[in-house]
Amino acid sequence: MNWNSLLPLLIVLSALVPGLIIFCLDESRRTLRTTLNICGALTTLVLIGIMVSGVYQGDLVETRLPLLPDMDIVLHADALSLLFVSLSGLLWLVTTVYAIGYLEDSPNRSRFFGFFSFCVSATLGIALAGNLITFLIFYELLTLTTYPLVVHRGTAKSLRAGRIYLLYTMIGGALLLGGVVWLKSLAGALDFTANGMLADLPHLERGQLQIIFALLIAGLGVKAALVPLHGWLPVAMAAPAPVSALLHAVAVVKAGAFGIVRVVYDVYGIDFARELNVTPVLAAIAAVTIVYGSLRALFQDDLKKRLAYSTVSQVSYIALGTAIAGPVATIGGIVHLVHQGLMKITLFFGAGNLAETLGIHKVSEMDGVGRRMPWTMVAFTLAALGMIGMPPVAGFVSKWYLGVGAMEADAFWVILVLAASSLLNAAYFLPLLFRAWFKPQRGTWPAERRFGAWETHWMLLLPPLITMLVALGVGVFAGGFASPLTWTTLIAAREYGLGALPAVTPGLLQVPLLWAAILAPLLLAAALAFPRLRRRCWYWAPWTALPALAAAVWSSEGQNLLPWLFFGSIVELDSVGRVFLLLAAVLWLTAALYAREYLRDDPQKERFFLFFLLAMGGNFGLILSLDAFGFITFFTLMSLAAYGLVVHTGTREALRAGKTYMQWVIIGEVLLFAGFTWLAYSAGSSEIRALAAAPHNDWIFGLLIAGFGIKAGLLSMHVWLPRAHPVAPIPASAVLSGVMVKAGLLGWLRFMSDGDAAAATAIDWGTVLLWLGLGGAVLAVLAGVVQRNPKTLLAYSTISQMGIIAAGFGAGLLRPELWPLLVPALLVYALHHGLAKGALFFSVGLTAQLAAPQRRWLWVAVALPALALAGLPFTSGALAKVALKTAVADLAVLTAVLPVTAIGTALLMIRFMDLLRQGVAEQKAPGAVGGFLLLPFMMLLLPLAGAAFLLPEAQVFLPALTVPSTLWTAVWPAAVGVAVYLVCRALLQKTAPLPAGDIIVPVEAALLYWRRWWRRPARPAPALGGYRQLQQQFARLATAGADRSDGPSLPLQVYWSNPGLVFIVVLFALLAVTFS
Amino acid sequence: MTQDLFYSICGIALFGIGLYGLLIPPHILQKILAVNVMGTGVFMVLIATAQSRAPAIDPVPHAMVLTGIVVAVAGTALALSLVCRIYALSDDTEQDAGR
Amino acid sequence: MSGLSLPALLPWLVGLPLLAAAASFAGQRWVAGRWLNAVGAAAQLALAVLVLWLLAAGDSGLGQRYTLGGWGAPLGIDLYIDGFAGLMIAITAALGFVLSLYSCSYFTEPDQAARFWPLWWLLMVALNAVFLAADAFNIYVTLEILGLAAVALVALQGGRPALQAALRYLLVGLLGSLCYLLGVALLYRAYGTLDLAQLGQLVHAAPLSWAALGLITVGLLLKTALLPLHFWLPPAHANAPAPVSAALSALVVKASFYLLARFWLETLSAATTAQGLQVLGVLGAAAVLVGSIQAIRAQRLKLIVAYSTVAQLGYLFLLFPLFGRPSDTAGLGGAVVDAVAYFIIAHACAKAAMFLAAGNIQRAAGHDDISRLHGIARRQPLSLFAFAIAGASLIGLPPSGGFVAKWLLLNAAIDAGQWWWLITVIAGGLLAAVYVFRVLNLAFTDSAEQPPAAEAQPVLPRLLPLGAFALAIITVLLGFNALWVLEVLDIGVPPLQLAADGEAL
Repeated sequence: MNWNSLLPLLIVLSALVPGLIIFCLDESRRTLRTTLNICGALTTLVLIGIMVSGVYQGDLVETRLPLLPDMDIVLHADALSLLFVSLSGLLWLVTTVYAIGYLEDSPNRSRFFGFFSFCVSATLGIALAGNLITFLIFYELLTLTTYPLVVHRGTAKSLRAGRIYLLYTMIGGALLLGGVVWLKSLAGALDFTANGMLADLPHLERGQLQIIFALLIAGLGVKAALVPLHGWLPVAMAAPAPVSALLHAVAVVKAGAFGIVRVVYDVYGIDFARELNVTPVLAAIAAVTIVYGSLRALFQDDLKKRLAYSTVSQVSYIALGTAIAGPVATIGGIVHLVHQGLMKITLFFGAGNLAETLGIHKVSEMDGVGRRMPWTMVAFTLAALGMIGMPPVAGFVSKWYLGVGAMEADAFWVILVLAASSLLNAAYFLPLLFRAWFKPQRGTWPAERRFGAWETHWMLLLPPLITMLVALGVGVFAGGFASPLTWTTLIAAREYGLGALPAVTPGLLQVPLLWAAILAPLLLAAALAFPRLRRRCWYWAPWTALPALAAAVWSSEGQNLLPWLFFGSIVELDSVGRVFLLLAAVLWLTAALYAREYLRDDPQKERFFLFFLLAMGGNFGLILSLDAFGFITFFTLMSLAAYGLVVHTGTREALRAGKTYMQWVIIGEVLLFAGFTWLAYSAGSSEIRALAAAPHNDWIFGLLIAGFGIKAGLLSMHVWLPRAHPVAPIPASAVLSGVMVKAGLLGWLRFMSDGDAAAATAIDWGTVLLWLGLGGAVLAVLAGVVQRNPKTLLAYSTISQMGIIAAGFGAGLLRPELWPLLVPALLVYALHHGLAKGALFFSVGLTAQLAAPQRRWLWVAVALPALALAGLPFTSGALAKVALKTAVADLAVLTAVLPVTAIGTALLMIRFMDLLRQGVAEQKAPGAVGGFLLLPFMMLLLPLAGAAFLLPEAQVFLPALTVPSTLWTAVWPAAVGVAVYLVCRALLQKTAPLPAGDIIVPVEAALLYWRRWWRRPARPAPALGGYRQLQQQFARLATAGADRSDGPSLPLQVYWSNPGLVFIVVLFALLAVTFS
Repeated sequence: MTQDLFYSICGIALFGIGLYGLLIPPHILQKILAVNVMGTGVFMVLIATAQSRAPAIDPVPHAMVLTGIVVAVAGTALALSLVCRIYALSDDTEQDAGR
Repeated sequence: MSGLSLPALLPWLVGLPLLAAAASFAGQRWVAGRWLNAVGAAAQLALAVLVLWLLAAGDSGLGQRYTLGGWGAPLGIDLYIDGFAGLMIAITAALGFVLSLYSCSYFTEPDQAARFWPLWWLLMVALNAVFLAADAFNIYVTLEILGLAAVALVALQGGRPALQAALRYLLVGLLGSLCYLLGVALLYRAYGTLDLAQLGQLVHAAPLSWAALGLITVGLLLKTALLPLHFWLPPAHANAPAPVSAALSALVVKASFYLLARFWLETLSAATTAQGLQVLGVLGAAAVLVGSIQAIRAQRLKLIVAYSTVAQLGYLFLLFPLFGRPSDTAGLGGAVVDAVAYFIIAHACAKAAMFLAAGNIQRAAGHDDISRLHGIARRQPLSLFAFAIAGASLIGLPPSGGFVAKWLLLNAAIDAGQWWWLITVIAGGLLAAVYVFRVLNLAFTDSAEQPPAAEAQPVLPRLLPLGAFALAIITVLLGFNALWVLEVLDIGVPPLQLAADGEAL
């Protein structure tokens, strides 16, 4: 027996032996027990490391012990088992540390840690099992060793949980046993092989194999918590937190999921399974589970239960990926095995910390907990975002591959499932995060304990932070060497016989400045997380925009290629990006300067700057990223961080606006996710240039237009905008309206402005976008002009202006030959609008300055951006309008409507000036707000006047500016606008303002009404509640007998109620069908 | 009907009577007696068998019967001693054992 | 086999315990002498191992026969050993050794010990003799010794329930033996021989054969306690002292099953019918279900274990339908016999461990009422642990002998194309889980309602929990060493028989 044939056995024993010793230890030998635990975990990790290197060098690492004739116990190391075994080993160490901290001073620790080690040993065995029989042995062993952990507390509740757990897992084990025995007698030794072993065997009856598959999956599905076999999982929450973490993240549910992967790939073989038509059924069950689990999670107030249902949902991604059948989906499914483990364990650690430190068990008790336990909640938040599928956390990677894989396999419905699941995930995680971070603490904590300097015991704090960092790391460095993704890609390649993978491209860093531009704000944001640095650092915020400005101004040609980052990151400044970066850099810089003054006395200014910087970094990143992963990551970062800006003031209005904003952000993310995965499939790459050139179908167009349309405030998707922009602090409003909405335009330009790509569409998307844009441009004026709040008015003006831009883009789609002229025109327009809108928002904050009598001249300055927006000659506005008009000169519709919009803009601007004047008049005592507010405002005026004209893109249009007819067309709409306003002013003053959010308001009212009606007390059992009741009853019935060991024992049918009966009936039916 | 067959049938009848006595009557002494009756029935069958093997009489069944009697005595003794012990512990000898 | 002759050793398997019985009776007042019994048990184990080793080493591939006193069949009383019998002897010796050690600690009162040891050795004599007997009437005698010794051991406890159970056990035993004897008488009448091997060649389907088969079957079924005839077992096993219960459940009932298997599948196989075999199987399946459910309903720990025996015995009877009707070549072998033999061994170890653990718990707590046993885990952790491992084996969870046994059984069922037994086996496992975990939950509940026991809790000798634990460990080890056991089993099966197996399926 040489070393390689001993290694797998040693790994299993390295967990088993400490457990055995710990059992014999006295309760009081704490140090020895801790040492043993940690040593065991470390030994396992070291051995796993040795094994990985061995396998990497091509050694055969296998332990084979004879058990029965033609039946061996085989422990074998292949890529898949290494993946799982590494995960188990790592998480075991972390969980051990956590459990030591968690169970401090509680009774029966020797018993707990003994079984804990056994449980890990069984999991390692499952991971290393080389044939189905070995797998079965360790699978059953796992049931046996986790039971004591579930009932560890010994309360009635945990005993009940244990009983239900056993009921399910025992039946599952029995089904699995039946399937394995059957298969064994048909097929002989059941060694796992790369392409499945059944396909090569002749003379097997299809029907029998299908039934065996059903048996196996049913048996494994119990542990993997596939609906309807998931009932044990939420109940098992009665266990201590480390156990829940282990159950959910690594051991039990993963054992089931891993088993499904093994059965489909290594026993049946994916091709054969597809041929047998069993995978679609599995996929359907997984899909139902995903949606059902999320739905149930939505209604749980108990934190751990919510997480448990989330597990039900998330684990089925693995089964789904496995069942979709295709290399890419396989990668998604298997990599989720690791990713879900990392994220879910973080979540459970977080929940455990809350329970242990503050006594919080319910979601409704979590108000303000982020302030008390920031680090725990940071870990929790990131993991939750990852669960939703937000890049760059690990969860996104899995979802991305699942999505692309689904496209590859033509399983479009999977995208729907993923979208629904993401939405639901957001719906049950985000309110929780909101409570933790943005709500004030309510009363005292239920049961608070103090742990010295840290927010909680260091052994409780460290594990979630580690797992969170790993979860983040495997997402961010998804393309890196030996990341789970690369590893899984290897497995998939082997499974599908794809041969060698393309060689890794070397990294390239030609323009480090670009990365500096992205990272500068992010690093400062990270510094703000530390209380000591926070005090000093926030003041430097404006200067973090300087690298971006430098990059935009000076020549920054070249590429940054980092293959290990994301799916291979490309950071590059192209001509489109340069304009956007210029706009962004200027606006963020000035906004930061402005904010520094504006929020000087705000107690929460550090938090504001944290979100501000994150949004800034996201904005720069999305402009500079030329790969899909990077783009989405930064896009998401910007969108999410902006939430903090919107709700900053914490008023009811702000919170409501924040909610609306978040809802639309999530919807947008989901739409974009669907669009991108589709596009990525059709492009076969994640490079943006490739994506843009790939053929787009109608769905892709629709999804992208809608997804970016939300950000750009496209008519009908704009409703969040008039709510969110006004309630934010002024500098935030400026960047929101000035530059963040432009991300929508950037997205359109990046992904849809390739003329050839649109060839195959059936729907005329250009016209759609044209009319939506024009409609928005006109209607927003009507909605805006009646507003009383100047900031709301500006928000509507943004919608109007973005409408014009959208219409322009629509024109491009309609007439691809216009692109060469149109793209520069749109860029000029965007730059102009961004700068002008920023300046206008700034001016709202200048009320105190304007009221001072000695500052009358300031009015001129304030009027300047307003006039520019209205398009007065020799302003950037005129340039922008001329540019657009020149570009779309062929399109009669657009040329006809553009003057109308110009009138509207003028109307809005004059109304704005009027409102500002009224506000200034109401200002009684001029405040002493420092003159430093003026500086950024003025800074913005400068580029507004100059920059637009200096743009290379603008040079084409300059000659047209001085033509008299152009001058005339620039002046008359403005004059008409002013005239109309003067006529209508009295009327407008009296008209009640349209509520911000316009068309969403009646919808919300209807929803509210419906919800009240739904929750009427007269209806005792709403649909979901009714089901819950039924399930409780079912669970009670199933275990009633054992509850009452003192009373007379209950008759037979109580014990064999539904699950058992169902099991027998099913088994009978299946078998009967085969043999008949 | 040959002689040995007649005795065999008688033996089997005895066995049946003993079986009835063992299963139906409630009293424990009756049951113990019934077991002995059954045993006697079997012995009769054996002895008849010995005779059936004409011309010489087969000694083997006789040896079996002798052994059987020893066993029956031992069993009966054990049963009676148990009954006595139970009787000493209580004064209720009505046993429904053996049903 | 130059120096050691295997057949010459066979009588010693019977003789050694017999000597020990006499010795222990003679020296019964010698208190320290009780440990000598353990030495005797060790000697018996060594002998059994030696026999098994010689058997395995024999290249004949056939069983071994010893003619006692030089009198061969049909007149003489032969001893015969093949793989199956050898394994039974071995498990008897192994369990006998552990149980003897345990009993040394268990029976501390000289009075009790003096009564126990002779009876105990007689039980060993009878068991070994049953497994070795090659003669139908000899079997009757050994069965009676077995029955009488067992009854006396049950009565050892002394209380009224124990005596009543013993009496009932005795009457049942006698009834069974007499039925068997009548059957043997009929066989002798029909075929004129008592030697099993000769009978096997002579017997043909005839009314007298059927009657004999019926009587033998009923008699042995009664002793094996198959479902409708199981009524006597739970009280007898539950009221006996712990090592006795263990031996009864683990070995004594298996002895009569062993005989049943021999008669049905080997000696009288010509008279059997396929329907009969199926009926036995159905009864076995019913026993699995009913026994398990009774165990679930039972309120006393030892009663649970006893009912579990009823259930587990049911599995053994799946041997008959799965084996099918063998052709005229005699011989027990093949996958099904392997499975059942393995089952017997696994169950013997597990059940013995369970009874010992239950006995320990009963002794520590003073009672074995489940509802009042909360917190027992603190006082008897090792016993409960042993119970858990044994329970896992009964459920059929790996890695344990029970798992391998069930695996083999399931395999055999599928190979035989009789899938319906699968349901029985699997459902039985699930039901077993219910009653085992009912007990194991005791480990996790603390004695909240019990006031701190002021009266000194009886302190158990260390050997008692260790004995239970040792058996539990053996149960686990059985899950890893199946190969060796199965190899031994196939000794004594003519190659022809293996081929015939295939046809019968």
